Amino acid sequence: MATPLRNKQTFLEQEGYRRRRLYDVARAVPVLAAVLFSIPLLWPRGEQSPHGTADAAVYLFFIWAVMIAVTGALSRALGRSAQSEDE
Amino acid sequence: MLSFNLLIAVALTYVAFLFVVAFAAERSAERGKASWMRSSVIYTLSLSIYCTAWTFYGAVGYAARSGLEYLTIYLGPTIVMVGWWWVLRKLVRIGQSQRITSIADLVSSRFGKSTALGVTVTLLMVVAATPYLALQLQSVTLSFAVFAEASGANWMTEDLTQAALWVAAGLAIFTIIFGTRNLDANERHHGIVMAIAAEAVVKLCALVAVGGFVVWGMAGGVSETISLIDQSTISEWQQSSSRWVGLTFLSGAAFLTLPRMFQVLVVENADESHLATASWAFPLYLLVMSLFVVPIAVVGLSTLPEGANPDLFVLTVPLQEGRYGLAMFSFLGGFSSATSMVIVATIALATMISNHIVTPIWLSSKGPGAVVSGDVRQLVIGARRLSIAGVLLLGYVYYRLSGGGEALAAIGLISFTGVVQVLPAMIGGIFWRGATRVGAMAGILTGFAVWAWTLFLPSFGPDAIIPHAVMENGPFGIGWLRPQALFGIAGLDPQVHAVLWSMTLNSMIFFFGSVLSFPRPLERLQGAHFINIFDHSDGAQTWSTSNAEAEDLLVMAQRILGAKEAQALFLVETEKQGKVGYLPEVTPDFVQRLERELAGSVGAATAHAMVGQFVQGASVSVEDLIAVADEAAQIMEYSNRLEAKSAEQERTARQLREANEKLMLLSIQKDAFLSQISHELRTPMTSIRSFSEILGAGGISEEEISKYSGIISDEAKRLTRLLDDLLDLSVLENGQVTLNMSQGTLKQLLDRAEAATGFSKDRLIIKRRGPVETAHLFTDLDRLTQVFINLIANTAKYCDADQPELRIELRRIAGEWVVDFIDNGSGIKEESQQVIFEKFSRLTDHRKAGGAGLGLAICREIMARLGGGISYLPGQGGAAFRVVLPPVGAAMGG
Repeated sequence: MATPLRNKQTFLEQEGYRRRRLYDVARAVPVLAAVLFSIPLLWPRGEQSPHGTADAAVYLFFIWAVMIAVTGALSRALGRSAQSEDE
Repeated sequence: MLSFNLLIAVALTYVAFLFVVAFAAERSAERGKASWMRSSVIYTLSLSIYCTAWTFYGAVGYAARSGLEYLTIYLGPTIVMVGWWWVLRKLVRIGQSQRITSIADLVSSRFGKSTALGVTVTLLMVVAATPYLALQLQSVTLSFAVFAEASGANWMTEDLTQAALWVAAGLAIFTIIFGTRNLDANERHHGIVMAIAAEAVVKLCALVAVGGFVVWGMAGGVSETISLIDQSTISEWQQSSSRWVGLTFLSGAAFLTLPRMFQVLVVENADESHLATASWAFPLYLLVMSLFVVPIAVVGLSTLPEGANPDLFVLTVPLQEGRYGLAMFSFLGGFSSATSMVIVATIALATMISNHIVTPIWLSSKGPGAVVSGDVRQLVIGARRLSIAGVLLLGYVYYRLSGGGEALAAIGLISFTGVVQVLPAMIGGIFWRGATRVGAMAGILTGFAVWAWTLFLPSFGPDAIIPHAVMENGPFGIGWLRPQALFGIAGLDPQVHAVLWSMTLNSMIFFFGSVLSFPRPLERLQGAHFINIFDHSDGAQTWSTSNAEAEDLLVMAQRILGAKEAQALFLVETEKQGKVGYLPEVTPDFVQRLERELAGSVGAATAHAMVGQFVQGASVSVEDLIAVADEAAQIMEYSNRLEAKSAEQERTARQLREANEKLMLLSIQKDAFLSQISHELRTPMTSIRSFSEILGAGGISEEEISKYSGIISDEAKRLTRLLDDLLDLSVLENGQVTLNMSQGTLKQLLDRAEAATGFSKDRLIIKRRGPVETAHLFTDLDRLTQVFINLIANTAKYCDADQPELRIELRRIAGEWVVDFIDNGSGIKEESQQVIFEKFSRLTDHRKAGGAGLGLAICREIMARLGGGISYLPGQGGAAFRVVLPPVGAAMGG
């Protein structure tokens, strides 16, 4: 009887561990977003610059879309883990 | 050519459409079909009030002037939304568990339910929001003017102000109708939310339609649009880093602190899971909103004549191309953006003004210790309606005074900088236990002052409020106080300068003020509760000793929550305590719950003050403070377990105590009854005996014989009636009664009962309320009528008013029909309320009463047999009885 019990405990612990790391990711997303949205500030300015407004717009909208996708996936995962926590 | 009258007609039709949407939403919510209106899609759409007319028109103008910088206004909220796990989730949870009604309420509640903080935050928000409201009015009137010009009529300033006045009045009416239907801010405003969701869709579609037309209809495709950007005046990447970072921070912070955003994000949130959906769906909405801004700007710059106002490109580009339908759609989009923002902003501000300024002033004008009187509900709703009109009037006056000339974006950012002064106190309040009321107050006032000095007052223009010399050299020649170069650091962008200094000084003063001051006990309790919101959601008790009478509390609660809701609350509480009736024991736990319920209607500080009127004594005890200390967490854990065990015992003990009290009273009353019944039996017996002896002796006249035998017969009838009652009761109690079920309406029964008692108007006035005519019954009608007759007759007998009056009210509570019989006498004392339904209980010794105290006992037995119930309803002014009508088909025969 002892073996399956221990197995179950390991499984639960692992699940709890995963959930807490998922929360960490959720907390990291806004920091990541803030950093990525500021990247164009590092680009050189003025006429000689290889990047113009159009490039910046394409870059920013792309990052924006990626952030939305990441948050969407995360919020679903968080919803699922909250459900399993209730059970 | 587009006729201007057609535009007016379309705008009016659109407004009518919004009214219909709002009405339909309210109607279906009343019918209980509101579940789909509480969906996460509607929640996300309601957040779109962030995108005001400033976004709709102003973003294009902003892009035409400064390139991609307009994006910061959307990137800030995006970062906040994708980081919902940090801040928003906590705010929503606190908002729900503490029944927060506004951002002022949140700050006031966190810092010990402080009235002063509530007032300060409210005033700050009103000052900061007024220019923003003016901006919305301006944008609507400007867009009207564009069309007027296109149709040939040139608008004068008077025409514009008149249009602004009409728009403001229309918005006030809409907001008052749908925004003040219920007092409890936690109940959702279904009509408003649906109207806003509809407007969110309209403005998004309108902007996308114009954008699509510009990209594919005019520029000729995506790559052509990009090359058009490269050729335009804004093609070079010259973004200032400080403005980019500063404005992203500013918009993110404002997203959390703007009263209207707080209203839709936190107050109107119905379910935490909606936030999870909105965390990605709302950034998506923002992305789509801002996607076409640059294309519209560059196409407008290249096709429209030099000097055209870029703030209106969204309208003027389609007009220039002769696309009048598209221009009209675009106008509706702008109109939607402005109206939805104004509606929610005025509701949020009006809630704050009525809860934090009007009600406290009214309460304190009553003087300390005065008991709440009058209908508070009407007062608060009235105050809220007046505030809505007042806030809009303020916006209109600002619009008139400012002349409405500035570029749209500037006013928006000034307003943002004002509202974010609440951020340190708010974020500090929910994450840092050391934050105190003194610190929060000092921080907010400092930030407010710096904002006014460096940004708000200079925004009126040179020499308007701050003289030019002061701008150049500082006040009284003190150079380091120059409004746009504090501490001598010149050269910063004024906007960044204001954000930087106001936030830095605000946070520093908040921090040091908190560290140096000492919090009051209530602050520490609230602080612990806010910060550990996810650990225990029911919170520590704030009331320890309570001398309050349950009946006084009920009277007060009825005036704020409404009679039905308050009674339901008290009933649930009594049941939870294992008691019967409407008056629970006034435990600290119950007072706490009641206070929170009231806070949902009038805000935390006011609710606390109102409950404080009744609950005297120290409000926080040593035991409560143990809950605050970290070290005591383990003790708490242990005591919680003990508490759970003792709660059960306490409940049993309470029931036993109650039963014992009842027995004592009954035993006394039984003794009294025995002596009384023997008296009641003996008096008729004596007269029967003596008169029959006289008759037996003979020798009396015919006349006397008939008189004496009449007396004998009357006395015998009295005896029979008494014995009948006793028999009736014992039959009912033993369940041997047979019920004659039949159909009838309540009106018939009441008519019969009134006719049977047959009191004239000067003896008893009976008034009926509620849908009495339509209530159908299927039960033993004769028995039910007997109950009604008994209640009406009791009123006539015992009501001690000069002009007795009985109100009979029919209402529906929790799926059951109830009939309340309420008179205008002095009522029944609390200790007597428990025994009136018992056999032989009589409260008065009036001989005129003439019964043996069996009437109500019989009523109770009848109602129990019929499957209904009867109980005493305290706190109604006079004596009041509530008859719960039997549900159709539930009577049990015996």
